[in-house]
Amino acid sequence: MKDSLRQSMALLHTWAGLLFGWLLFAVFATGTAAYFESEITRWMQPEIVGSSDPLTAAEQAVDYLGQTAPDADSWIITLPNSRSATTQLFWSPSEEEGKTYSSAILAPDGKEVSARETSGGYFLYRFHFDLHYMPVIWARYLVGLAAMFMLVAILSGVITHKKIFADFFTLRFGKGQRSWLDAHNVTAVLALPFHLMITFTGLVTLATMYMPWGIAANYTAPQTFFESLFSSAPEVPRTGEKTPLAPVDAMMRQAAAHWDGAMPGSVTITNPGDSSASVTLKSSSEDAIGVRGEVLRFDGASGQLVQPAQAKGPALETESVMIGLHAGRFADWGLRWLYFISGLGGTIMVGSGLVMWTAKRRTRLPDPQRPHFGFRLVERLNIAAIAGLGAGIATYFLANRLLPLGMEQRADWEINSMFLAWSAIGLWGAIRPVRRAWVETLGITAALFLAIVPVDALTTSRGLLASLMAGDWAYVGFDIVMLLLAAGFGFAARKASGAKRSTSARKTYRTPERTPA
Amino acid sequence: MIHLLAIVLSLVGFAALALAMKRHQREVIGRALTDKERHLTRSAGALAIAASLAVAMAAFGAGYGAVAWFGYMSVAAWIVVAALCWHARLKS
Amino acid sequence: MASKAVKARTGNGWGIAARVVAAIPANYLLTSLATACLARLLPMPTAEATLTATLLSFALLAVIALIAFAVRSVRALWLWMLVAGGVMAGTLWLSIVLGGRL
Repeated sequence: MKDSLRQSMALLHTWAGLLFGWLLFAVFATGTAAYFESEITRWMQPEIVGSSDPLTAAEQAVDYLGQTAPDADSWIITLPNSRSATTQLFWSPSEEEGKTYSSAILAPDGKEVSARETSGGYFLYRFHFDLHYMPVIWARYLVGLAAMFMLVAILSGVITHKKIFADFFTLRFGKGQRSWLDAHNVTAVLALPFHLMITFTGLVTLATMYMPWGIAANYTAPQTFFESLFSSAPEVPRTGEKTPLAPVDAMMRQAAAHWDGAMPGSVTITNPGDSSASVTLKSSSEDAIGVRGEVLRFDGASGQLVQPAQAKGPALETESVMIGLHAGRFADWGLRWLYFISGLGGTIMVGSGLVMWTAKRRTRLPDPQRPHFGFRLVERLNIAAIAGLGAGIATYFLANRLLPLGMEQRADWEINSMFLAWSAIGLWGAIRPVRRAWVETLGITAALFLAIVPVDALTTSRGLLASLMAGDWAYVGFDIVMLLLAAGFGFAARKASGAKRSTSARKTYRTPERTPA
Repeated sequence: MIHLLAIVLSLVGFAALALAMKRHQREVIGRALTDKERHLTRSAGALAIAASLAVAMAAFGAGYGAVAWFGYMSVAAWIVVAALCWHARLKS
Repeated sequence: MASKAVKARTGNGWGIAARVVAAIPANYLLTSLATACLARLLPMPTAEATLTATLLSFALLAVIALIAFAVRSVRALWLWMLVAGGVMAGTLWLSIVLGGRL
């Protein structure tokens, strides 16, 4: 009876994992990259050097916006922090219909960024939940569904796993199907708290979109719910009386005094230049785990504090911490690397799970030379998802260095390059004999990652060696991760080419806990 | 640096926990530990992992420290797995 | 493909289909009802109760999905889900009719 429970959970684990496995692989991989979103963006805009402090940046931003959009309804300024050197500006024009935001990015010198056009790490971050070439809303539902399947796959996987402690430290390479199972277990079990946390909190980031019925039961309009929760600034019409904005840096200093010296992370100014102007300062996401940071509101004309920080209820605090844990913006460089490594572990867990589906079934095929359609489909999709995405991301970085600087819609073409390479690898993997396809596509991916380092050194003055000498750790780290990824894919390609040798091992090795389905 | 110290503590802890398991004793030292030795190794391992948490919490505060601790444990356990795997390969 | 033991538990193709329907669309419906009920009935300020219920919903979704594949009888599974759904729908209806919405 106990065994049959385990078997039905194994069935659930296998199919819940497989169905969304390919999407989950991409979500995990790009989400892992997004932990270094700022660093990737820095790498992709090699023209921007130096750093900026929040006080100067805020002054520059207010000057810039005062000239560019003096009549805007609101200005939103995201200040630079320890990881990012640029200031991001958004503003909503007052007269235009529909709240379309304009945006600009300021370099540390206070001028609009003149660096190459790129979406940088931001694209990888957005792809993580918005995907691409499709309406954002559908992408988010799809990713949410995948996350829900992931949660079920994790829980059923734990129930299935008979010898979770006996096999805790065990990884047997070169044992065919067995080594895939071990790789899957080791990456899954040893970072289980991370996987559970990241999946659940991922759902929480878009919770009210996936599960809006709690709100619908209590409120006739969802807006009422959000307003009562976040106590956002009431919209006040302009009085029409022109009044210069009080110095923002004084307000920022005052806020820092409230927050144990920590500077704000963003500034929102409504009705700028009007006597009804209001300035909202939000604490930086680097300073607390929760993302719904503390908020102080000032009168824009007088610079007086009008709304002190409000305490959050326990539910909102929990939600804020959960989203914070997911995004990891609070993490210093050490914890950031731990996040990155755990994310890589999750990516490998999903990837090895996908490959295991075929490895387990290959020996039991009625005719291994001519597998049935479903088997071939999974096999080819695995190649496209695993090697293809790797090659795509490597190409995205290469395109950033190689596309002509003045190219029309350059940022879009960087992204298109990624998907072109991804599709090309998928196609290649689909038409070649399967074992060769693995070796070749993994090999190409390794070569692409390897190429990034010399290409960077040849096209910019910030190659690995120069960065090492300058102590530019964001650049050094990026290049070293590229080399490690090249090594990882190269290792996988070598394993794939040697897999023939272990066919005999697989035949003689009886797996004691072969799961059904 | 605190990160490094805490990872090393976790690493020592997981290495000890692995050594307290029969399968890995045979692999690494070629004999089974006595009951007393095994008990001692396991307690030492658990203690080292707890110390890793204590160090992280003392340095970064309870919340941040706990989050980092889960990271230390994963990385440390993976290093132990890699070391065991490598050891087995060297022997064969 | 499924072995005998799994067959005994999950049943034939129709049995599996009934479980899949229970685990995905019916589960979402049931969890939505539970979330709506909790959002109204939890003894906290309305916004807090709403958020708490919403956060809990994902754990509930996962647990019901597991149960849908773990229980022996598909018939009992559906019976329980229908009864629970009916009770919660009634409670929600009563609560909204009597208390109204904001």
